[in-house]
Amino acid sequence: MAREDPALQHSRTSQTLVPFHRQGMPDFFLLLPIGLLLALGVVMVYSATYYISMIDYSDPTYYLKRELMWVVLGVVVMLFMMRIDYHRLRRFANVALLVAVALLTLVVLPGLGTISHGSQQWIAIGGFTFQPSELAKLCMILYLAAVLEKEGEQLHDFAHGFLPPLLVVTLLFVLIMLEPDMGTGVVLMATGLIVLFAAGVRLRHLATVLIPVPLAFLALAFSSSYRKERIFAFLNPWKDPLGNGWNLIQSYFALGHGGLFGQGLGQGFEKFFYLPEPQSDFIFSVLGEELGFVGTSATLLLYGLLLWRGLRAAMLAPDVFGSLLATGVCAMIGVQVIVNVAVATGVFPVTGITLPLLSYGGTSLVVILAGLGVVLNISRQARIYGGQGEG
Amino acid sequence: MPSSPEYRRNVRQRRRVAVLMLAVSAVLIGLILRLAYLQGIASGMLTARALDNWSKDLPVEARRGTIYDRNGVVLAYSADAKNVVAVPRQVQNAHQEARQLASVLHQDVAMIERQLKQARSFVYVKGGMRIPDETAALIAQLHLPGILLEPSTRRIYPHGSLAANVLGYVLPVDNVGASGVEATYNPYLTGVNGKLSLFTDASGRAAPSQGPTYVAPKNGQDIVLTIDANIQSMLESELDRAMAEFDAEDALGIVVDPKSGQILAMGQRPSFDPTNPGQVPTEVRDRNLAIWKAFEPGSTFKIVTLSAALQEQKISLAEHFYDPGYIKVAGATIHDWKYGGHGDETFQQVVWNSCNPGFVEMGERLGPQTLLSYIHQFGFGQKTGIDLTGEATGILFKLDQMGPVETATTAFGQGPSVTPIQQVMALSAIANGGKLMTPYVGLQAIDPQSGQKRALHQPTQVRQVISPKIASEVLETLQGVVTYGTGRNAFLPGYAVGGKTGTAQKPAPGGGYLPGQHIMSFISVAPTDDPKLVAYIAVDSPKGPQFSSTVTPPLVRDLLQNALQYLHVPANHGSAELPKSSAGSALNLPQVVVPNLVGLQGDDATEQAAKAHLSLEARGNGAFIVAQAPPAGSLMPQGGTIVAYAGDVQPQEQPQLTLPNFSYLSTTQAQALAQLLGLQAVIAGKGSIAQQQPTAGTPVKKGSQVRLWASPNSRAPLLNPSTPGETWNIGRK
Repeated sequence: MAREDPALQHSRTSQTLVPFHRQGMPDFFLLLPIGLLLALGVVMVYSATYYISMIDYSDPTYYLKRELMWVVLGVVVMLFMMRIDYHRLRRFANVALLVAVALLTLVVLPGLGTISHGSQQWIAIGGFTFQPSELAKLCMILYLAAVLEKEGEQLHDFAHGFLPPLLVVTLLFVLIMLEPDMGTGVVLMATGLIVLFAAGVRLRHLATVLIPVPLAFLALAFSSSYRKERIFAFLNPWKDPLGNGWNLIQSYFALGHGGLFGQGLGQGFEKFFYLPEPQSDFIFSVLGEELGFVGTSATLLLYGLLLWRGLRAAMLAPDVFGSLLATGVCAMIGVQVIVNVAVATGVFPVTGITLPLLSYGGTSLVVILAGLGVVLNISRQARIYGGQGEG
Repeated sequence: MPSSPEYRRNVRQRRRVAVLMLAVSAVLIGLILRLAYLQGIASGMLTARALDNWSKDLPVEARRGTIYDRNGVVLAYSADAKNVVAVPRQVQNAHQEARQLASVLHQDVAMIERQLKQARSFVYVKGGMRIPDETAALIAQLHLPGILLEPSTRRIYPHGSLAANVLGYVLPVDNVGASGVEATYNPYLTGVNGKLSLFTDASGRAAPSQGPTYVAPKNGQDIVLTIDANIQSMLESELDRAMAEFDAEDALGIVVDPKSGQILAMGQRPSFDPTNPGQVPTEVRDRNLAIWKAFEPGSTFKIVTLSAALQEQKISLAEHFYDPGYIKVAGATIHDWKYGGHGDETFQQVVWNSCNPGFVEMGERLGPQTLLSYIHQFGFGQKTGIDLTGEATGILFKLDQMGPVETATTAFGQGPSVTPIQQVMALSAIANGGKLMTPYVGLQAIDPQSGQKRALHQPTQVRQVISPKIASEVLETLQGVVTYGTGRNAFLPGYAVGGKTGTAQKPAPGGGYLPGQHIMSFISVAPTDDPKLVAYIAVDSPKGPQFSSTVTPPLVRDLLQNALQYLHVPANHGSAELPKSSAGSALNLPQVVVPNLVGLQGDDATEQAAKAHLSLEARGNGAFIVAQAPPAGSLMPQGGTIVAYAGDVQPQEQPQLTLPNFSYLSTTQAQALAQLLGLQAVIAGKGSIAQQQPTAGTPVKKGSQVRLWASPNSRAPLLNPSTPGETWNIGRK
């Protein structure tokens, strides 16, 4: 299935190598943080929601029950993806992109998408809502990995190598911004650029994007004073404590009240309707209030472990496709973790981004677990070196 | 092979993933540092703000300190009361409820209805601040939805208007002293409010995990005044007498201990009941006439001229002076008050006769500069610095305004404008060996927790104005005024009283003087050999033809008689018998106990007095005796005269009075209250009164026993409809 890698042929002469086509054990140190974060997520979602569930649904376990269901679904998907050889995914790359574009188009069409919080992000199927933008991220990663592998040395050509995949990323970004869902859009764009970076595009090509895009973004932000105040409220939330500053101030209160060791599980106060979305966008603040600095830093270290092992799998992947797939999933998770925590700690404008694995279920959780399943599969095919350094 | 494009690509790719690893690590470390700041360094500040954000604070008002007189008599205290609070969202029928509230609170229905419809979380109902518990009970019985009764306190002055203008009053809205002692000692009396913090979720529901927290208020300190309630009462009954007898515009008086500067009594008419300050015009409740009213002093000012002339050795008391009835000054003729003049007299007699030309002579000999300098040194033209609100400065001539005529009139008290307290302190300086003192009313502050007492003032000397020798010469001369001169109506058997009359003209608004309008005053010191009291009474515009020698000296005489007896100053001054007086010396006469005449009818009263070998001088018109001086139970020499006032209404407290509610008073306060009412209190336990026997409202006889049980934790119940409340009146009038 996979092509022979010349680098591998080179190392085969001096080093013992497990045959890549045979799938080994998945990386335990990747599974470990996934399991721990999922378990922590279930506990935190329950703690964050028992009160609002009781008030809104007269059932303290309303969210807990659904969370457990999502977790089971996600884990099943993850185990499934872990078991199938990731190389099989390559043939779905173009289909995945088409599906993503189609769904993203559908969701913004009047009448089809479900409008919530002033934006049209969901498609309702049966009793459940489905968020195409989450799936789009995974589709994009798959597409980019397949296309960039095939490009080879052509990647260094700006017009024929760099620009086409970038235009695809931009198309998806624009569709998501139409919903509008700025958070997911930013995550998708950042993930796409990181995959391009990892694929080895010329840095000056990347610079042509990295410099004008933020400038355009700033220009957009400053184009209306309403938007400007909303976006830059994080710089001084106390200026408008009941309006634009509310969310961040409540997050500050939660984190500050948590102190070093936290108020104890279930003992937080901010989840009593003070923090918006305590089960998803601001679950990190709830965690910070109840488990303190010890809990927040330990959580970030778990994410660090997860990303390290994920990127390690990318480095050890038997081919460029696998390496870029693993890098893409890690980029998606890493960007979401960083943006979510940066929002909660007031170093990034307030945007609605879920915290991977910890936030309450939904499409996001399943997509993340699916991606991690792929990375776990890649880790099963890792080249193992016995000697000094890599090839 | 190592340089093949595939290989190079592979290497570059891995290097870039490694760069990503480093970048992720760096960013995560950065976020952990940010968290360390928020959850470590900023944690305390954020938590404080958060607690504030999550809770709604209800203030718990600190109980205002009690004000006592120098002997522990309660002059002002804060009783439990209620505030009527409306929660408009919970009000069901605004019109109906407003009507019911309005009828209890005596307010306008439409106004209250508007309040009940306001879009606010809560609102204080008009007229419902600090209402007595019995009124609150009426509201509680209505069971109005959305109407709450918040515990609060109410300032009560158990003696009604006694010393009202010294005590001042409290603004009911924020419980802050507005005038008098309540204002000057407000920081002591106020205490520190506590609070009840109620934690809620963001929608206002009670939070499930955090109960309310309570920060107890720190009650205010008690203040002990230099005022003696008994002497104050004696002073005010003389003021009442002045108002009744002379139909005066107003009357005021001061009694001071000359050696310390402590004010023993200070009063005025008209006055007010500080419990209900809203019922009188602001000028009545905000003006303490004894320190505010500046006017031309008239002859009382001659004491200053005399002291200066003696100190500067410009005259001697034995030196002769001839008064033809007038004196010419710079072409102007100044007449003596006595037509034809006093003829040949010594300077001592000049003082006794209050002879204007004699004083003009003294003023001329002193010269404007020296005279003015003494006036300043005696404290005129500047505030005395008494610890009360609203003291006036008065106006003096400036040196360059003092021509010969101004010097002459100033010498006998016309021209300068001075306050009563300045005059009293000037005479006190003479009574105190020439040392001018700062007057004060604040004696001690008592911490309510520890009971620790801290002095608010020490006797403070301003300056030595004249020498002790000159001071005693002046005193002796003033004693002569009472014995031989214009102050003879103030003569008091057994006591050496010195004094000086004064008649001041009232300036007309357009210049000149108001015809027939005078402020009659008498300032006195007793006993002159060892001064205990300086007393002053001024009566503004007594009706009918009046003389300074007949209006105020008898008032001061009776005041001094009562006060000196009360202070146990021995009446052993036999040498100062009033010549030509029919009243024998009180010396060596047996002392008798003054009987109680209050409540008796005229004939019965005379009979009672006769039984005690005393005579009765009744004043006023009416069937019943309503007040008497000296009060029942005091000692006076056999054959003396009881002055009694008759009125039409039989005083209710005799022989019965209604037992007040002692609840929540401290044991000291309860004891003082009982003593004041002539009841015998038996107190068990410590803290504040929790129970009493018989219950409040029971009619009891004076001198009967009331049993009180105190407990350390006795606090007001939210509402106790069976409690008739704390308002009571000891019926002084």
